[in-house]
This record gives sequence, C-alpha cells and structure tokens, in this order.
Amino acid sequence: MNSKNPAPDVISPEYVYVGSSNPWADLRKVFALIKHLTQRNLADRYRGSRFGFLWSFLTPILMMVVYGFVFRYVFRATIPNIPYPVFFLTGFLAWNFFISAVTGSAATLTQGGYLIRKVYFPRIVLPLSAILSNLVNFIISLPILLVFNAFFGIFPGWSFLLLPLALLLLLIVSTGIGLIFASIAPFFRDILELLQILFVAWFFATPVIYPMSMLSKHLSPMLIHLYMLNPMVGVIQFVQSALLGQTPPLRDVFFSFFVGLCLLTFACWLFSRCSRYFSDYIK
Amino acid sequence: MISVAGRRNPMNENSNEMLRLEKVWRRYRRWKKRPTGIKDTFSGFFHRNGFAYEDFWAVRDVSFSMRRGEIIGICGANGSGKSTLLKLIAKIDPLTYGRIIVYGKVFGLLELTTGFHPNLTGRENIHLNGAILGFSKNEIKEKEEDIIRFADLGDFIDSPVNSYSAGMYMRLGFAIATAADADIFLIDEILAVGDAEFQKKCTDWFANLRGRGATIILVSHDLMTIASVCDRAFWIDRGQIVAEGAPKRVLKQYNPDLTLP
Repeated sequence: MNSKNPAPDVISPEYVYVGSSNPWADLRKVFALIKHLTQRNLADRYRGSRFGFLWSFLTPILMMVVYGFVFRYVFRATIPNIPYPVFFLTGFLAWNFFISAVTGSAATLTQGGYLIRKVYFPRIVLPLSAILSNLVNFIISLPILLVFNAFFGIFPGWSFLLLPLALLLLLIVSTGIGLIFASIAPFFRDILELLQILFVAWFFATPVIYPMSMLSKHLSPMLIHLYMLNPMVGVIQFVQSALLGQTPPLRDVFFSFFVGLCLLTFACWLFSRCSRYFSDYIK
Repeated sequence: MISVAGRRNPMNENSNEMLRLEKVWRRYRRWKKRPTGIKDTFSGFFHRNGFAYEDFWAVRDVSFSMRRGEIIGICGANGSGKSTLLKLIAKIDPLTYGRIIVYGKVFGLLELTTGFHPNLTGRENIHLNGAILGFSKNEIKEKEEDIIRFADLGDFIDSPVNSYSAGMYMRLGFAIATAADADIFLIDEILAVGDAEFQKKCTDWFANLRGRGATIILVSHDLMTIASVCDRAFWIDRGQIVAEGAPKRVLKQYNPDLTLP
C-alpha cells in the first residue's frame, strides 16, 4: 500500500487530463489501451455475422467488382494514361478510409458513455482507436487493390516506396479532422448528421472521380488556389501516385503535410480543452 | 535513494497525508428548457430565455485532508453532493474551483454497472475494464480467474452481459473492482450488493482492505456501517460539510433518532 510515485497528482480546474506523476508509465498504458480498444473495434464490427473478419477482405473485393463493371461497361469514363476504374478505386479507397475514420472518431465518444462516466482514462484513446481500426481495414484492402490494378495492367513503380509516407499523411489529416469533430460532437450531436452532407460536398472538392489535370481547364486560377486549401487534395494525389507509379506532385504534398500538421496540433489542443467537460454532456 | 526516508515526499510536510481537498467547488448547468424537438429549437432562437439555464452548485467549498490508512464515512440526503465529491476525486468529473492533491493511486467504485459494454461477454468485459484500469495483458490474465471466481457467475461469464440479471451485473462489477490495486479507494454505496452469500464476500474484502491499511472514503446510507468502520465522518448537506468529526457524534447530528450500540 505504499505509494510508488511520491510526486502528487494535483487536480485543478485547468487539469487537462494528461498531467500525471509518471507520464512515461502512463504513455505505455495509454498505448496498451489504444491497442486493446482497436482490437475490440475490429472484433465488434462483424460480431454476429456469418463471415466475420472475412468481410474486411470481401467488402473491398465486391466494391472493386461493382465499380470495375460500372466504369468499364456502363459509364466508360476515360482519362489519359490510366484505365479509369483503376484511377477511381485507388483514390476512392483512401477517401473511404478518410470518411469512415472521421465518422467513427466523431461518434465514438457518444457511444463510449458507458466508460466515460465510470472511470478516468485519457479520453483521446476512444477516437484514436476508432481511427486505427479503420486504418487496419484500409491496409488490408491495399494488396487487393494492387491485384485489381495489375489486372488492368497497372503496376506501382519506384514511387511505391513512398507509400508509407502517403499513409502517414493520410493518417495525419484524418486524425486531425477526426479529433476536431470528436471534440465537438458531445456538445453538438447534430454535427454527426451535418457530417454526412459535408462529406458529399468535400468529395467533389477532392480529385477522386476526376484527375487534377482536368481541373485547370475548367477553373480560374483564383478558384484553383481556393481549391488547393483542401488538405485532402494533396493526400489523395500522393496515395494515387504511390500506387499507380507516378511522380507525386511535391508542392501539393508538402502543402498538405503542412496543413495536416497544423490541423493535428489544433485538434489536440481543442480535444484536451473539451475533454474535461465530456462527462457533463455524455449520458 | 531507496530508503524509508526516500519515500517521504518533500512537497508534503506531513508525509502521511494521502489526499487533500482545498476549497473545492463544482457547478452544474441545469437547463431549464433543453430543446428536444424542432418546435423547441426554433422557439429557443426567438425567445429571450429560450435556452435558459440555472447554475447548481453540487459541491461548495469543501476542504479536508486525509491521512494514510484513514477511513472516512460520508452521510447525507440524496442529492446532497456525496457522489459528485467522489467523482471529482476520481477525475471523472472536472472541478470548477479549488484544488485536489492526491498522493498515490485512486480507485473509484462508483456506479458499478456502467462500465460494461452490453454486447460483450462477461469475460471480454473483464479484459476491457482491466485495460482501462491500466493493467497489462499478462496482469489481466493473472487476475482473470480470481475475478471470475469472486463473481461466481457460472456459465454466464461467457454470455453477453445484456443477458445478466441486475444482481449478476453488480457481482461482476464488484469482482472487477476487487482486482484493482490502489492507495485510495472511493466506495459509493456498493457494499450491499447481491445475496447474503455475496454480501459476506464483500464484507470480507472490505475487512481485508482495512487490514492492508488502505485509505478509504465510504459513502453510505447505512449509518451502522459508518459508525462501526470509519475513523471520521462527514455530514454533507447541499454540497457543504455541515458536520465533521467522530462518527457517532456526526451521525447523531445527522439523524437524532439514531440509536447506536
């Protein structure tokens, strides 16, 4: 019963739920908790379904079959150099990760009320584990995508080596935006509904269904500058170029990194400020 | 460095102090009219007091200090702020003003039944709660059997907890709590869960905790328990400590009709 950490824990109104007598030991526990909750999320998702975890493979395969068929035989869109289904699906899978990570992160606090009201733990583990479990599903779908692309004769080149960096950028931007919505959602649940509409608009403001080259023909330079403020523009292009063997547009990617890191810093600050009041609003 | 003197805390004049509350206040916003439908939301924007709220002070200016191994009992009417006080110490609720200084690890046994995910089995909930309490995977594995034995739920341990009876819920919650190791325990009205046999287990566990020299805050409406186990008692009324001291004297003030042995 002797306390091993002699430094006291001082709880004051400014306490932001990271202060601790032994931050390093705490960090290890936090990582263990994130890992546990991520595994929990993955296991929960397919609980009660016949195929279980197989769905993580089946969903992207079926999606590719449907979109491949539609764009090959029904809509016959064409863009220079690359078969359209390959171009679309590469961007779309990354986009899909982005929206499911942000939605999951925003919803996780209101769903986690049963824990928030009972014990103290750093609340940030809830959104982070929601994002990470989606990342696992996204990474599982990548080899399937490579097979699909190879079927159309597209192979990744040297730029494939940049894939880890592209995933890191995707993760930074998704976590930044996910944490911002997670901070707001407990106080203003309507945001979860608004998010659905926001994503539709955002989707069309991101080069997923059209290539960037098409954009410069139709938009004025002023509008293009405005367009470039969207951090997902750089992210999607980076993922596409890493997987499709193109040179990444460095300027867009660097800008995206910059915006992503700013968003993430702001999001962490916002989350730590808001997390003190979660227990008041989450029932 | 590792000596008896090394354990003394330089920041702390009295090295036996475990917990200190300094002028702690907690405010809740009570919404007079919370918009629940479209009509309310719209009228809320157009009326002056559409989203009016009222401040409600659940804890007012509470200060006290606890020594290592001390057991404090808290009594008071429903809604007087006893549970809120424990939540502030357990870091579940933020405080509005003041300061709480904790020397050591706190474990709160509050609202036993809320920490469960209804779709997970009892065993999975043990793992989840263990991870949240900060145990490693191996530590949880070690404690798992003890917890299951304590809860004594039979085959139900591998069924989702939403199929449990209210009593079984409580038993599992309490069993998980017994596995926690901490310096300061906050116990909110939970020593009387379950049937006679299980209550015996709870009392034994509590006696063991006392024997180990744990520091305990006990909130209870069972005044007999407070009188028999506590070193000191508080009577809390409308968020304030209105009486403090020897349990028998405080309990007499709280309830003059009480006859203590």
